[in-house]
Amino acid sequence: MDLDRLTEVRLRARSAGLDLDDERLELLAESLQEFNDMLRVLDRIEVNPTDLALETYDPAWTEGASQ
Amino acid sequence: MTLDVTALTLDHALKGLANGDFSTVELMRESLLMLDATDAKIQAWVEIQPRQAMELAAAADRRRTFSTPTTPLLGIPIGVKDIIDLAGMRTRCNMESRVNVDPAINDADAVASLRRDGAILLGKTVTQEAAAGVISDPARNPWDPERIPGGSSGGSAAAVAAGNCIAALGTDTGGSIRIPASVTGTVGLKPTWGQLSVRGIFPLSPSLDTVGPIAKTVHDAAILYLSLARRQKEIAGLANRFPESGGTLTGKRIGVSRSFFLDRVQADVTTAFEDAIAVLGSLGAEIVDVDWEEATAARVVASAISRVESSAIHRQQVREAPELMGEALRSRVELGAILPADTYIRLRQVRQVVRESIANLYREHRLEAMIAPTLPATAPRSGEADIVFDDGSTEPVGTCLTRFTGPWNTTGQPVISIPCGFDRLRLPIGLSFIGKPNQELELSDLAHAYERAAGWFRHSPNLV
Repeated sequence: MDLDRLTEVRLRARSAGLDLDDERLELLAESLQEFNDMLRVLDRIEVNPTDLALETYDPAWTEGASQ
Repeated sequence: MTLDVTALTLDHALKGLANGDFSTVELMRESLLMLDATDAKIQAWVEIQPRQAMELAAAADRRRTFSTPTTPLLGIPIGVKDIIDLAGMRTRCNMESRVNVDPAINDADAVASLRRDGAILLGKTVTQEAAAGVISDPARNPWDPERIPGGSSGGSAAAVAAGNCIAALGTDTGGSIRIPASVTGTVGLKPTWGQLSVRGIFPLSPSLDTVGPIAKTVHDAAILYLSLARRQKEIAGLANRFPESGGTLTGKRIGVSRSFFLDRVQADVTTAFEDAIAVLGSLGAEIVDVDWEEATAARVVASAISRVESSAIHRQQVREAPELMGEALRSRVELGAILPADTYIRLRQVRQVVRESIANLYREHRLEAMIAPTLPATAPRSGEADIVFDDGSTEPVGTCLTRFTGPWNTTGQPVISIPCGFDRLRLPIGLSFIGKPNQELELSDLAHAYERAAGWFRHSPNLV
């Protein structure tokens, strides 16, 4: 395991109030890596940075639908 | 008389009670006898209230004798997933830290709706720890007790399939109503996110959580949905809307996105799905091939948002008493706790883009609904870590079973999963109909027509 990466995860964990031993920190670092890998599929999606995501249903749902 | 409670639908139970074919006491007694006979194998229940249930059944019969009941669910035995508050009973959520939690003082809004409409709440059904998973141990699948009933509403689905109760309440954040419905051969309705109150339900991921029914038919699920939506006056009209003979789908446009929803699917599931398409075509539906490009993103967003939000809910527990948490929940919460806030905000923003993409797809192709296999696979054996595909490749059970369900939690659309056949081991396969927001009954029209034409709802597990 990359020591810098482990140190970063340790700092983040402490900041979140988690007191983890080295074994759990390594597990957490692996989980974080897998999670970030999973999120890569979203990189290509452009969002509006000023939209703070108060989601609504688009009116397009009902426009022109077959009845 | 002896009732076949394993096959008895809610619709037929209501008719039988109204016609005097059997009493509420007889219905409750047969349900409890079936529960007793199957409990060692199926283990669907955390706690039941048999004495209180029999007293309420007798009271329902007295009420029926002396007046015409105005409550549409009078005397119907219902199970409640054990993350949903039922006044007087503990809400343990299959969490060690909540084993001795104080009993709930009030009913959750969903329970209150059913109780007000006359249902008898039989007890609490097994769920996964904190509703975060698809196994629901120790509950088992009535079609093969060596296999899982899915999750996290696994106890509810198993109890319905085994005839322990006529229907049950579940919750769905990433598939937790539809996964158990699919693997137990029952019907599960995930309503539109935000439509039904989740007050009194232990949260998993509030921006994704929904509550809904698990039942034996589309008609039954619609009855419960209307009760939950406090639209009980419309229940009587459902008999005309959902005739036993079914209906046609002439002119209905139904989309299929094969690139995502038929990728890495067990062969028997693909066959059942293609057969279902043929049935829908024979009913007059127009099957439209579409390509929802954001399906993978939708899946990832549901999974990621759920991890962050559930971490916020369990943060105190993981700091103060992590030893009381199972490894899966603990790891999930620890990961969520160290993710930066901007990751979460971006996920919410991406969700909006994904919602717009599916709305545009429906509009562009003038779709009434989409269909997809509910799951890529049938129920795995308890203890198996991976789903095995026909080419020998594998996928972790939790990842596989949420692959086709999670995207619809991201979009928030209503989805109903109904049986569409069996695999070579005679394990049930589910078909999902995905509708437009707040159009649960219109969606049920399509599912009902298929259900009656295909006839899979007539099959029940052989338990005793």
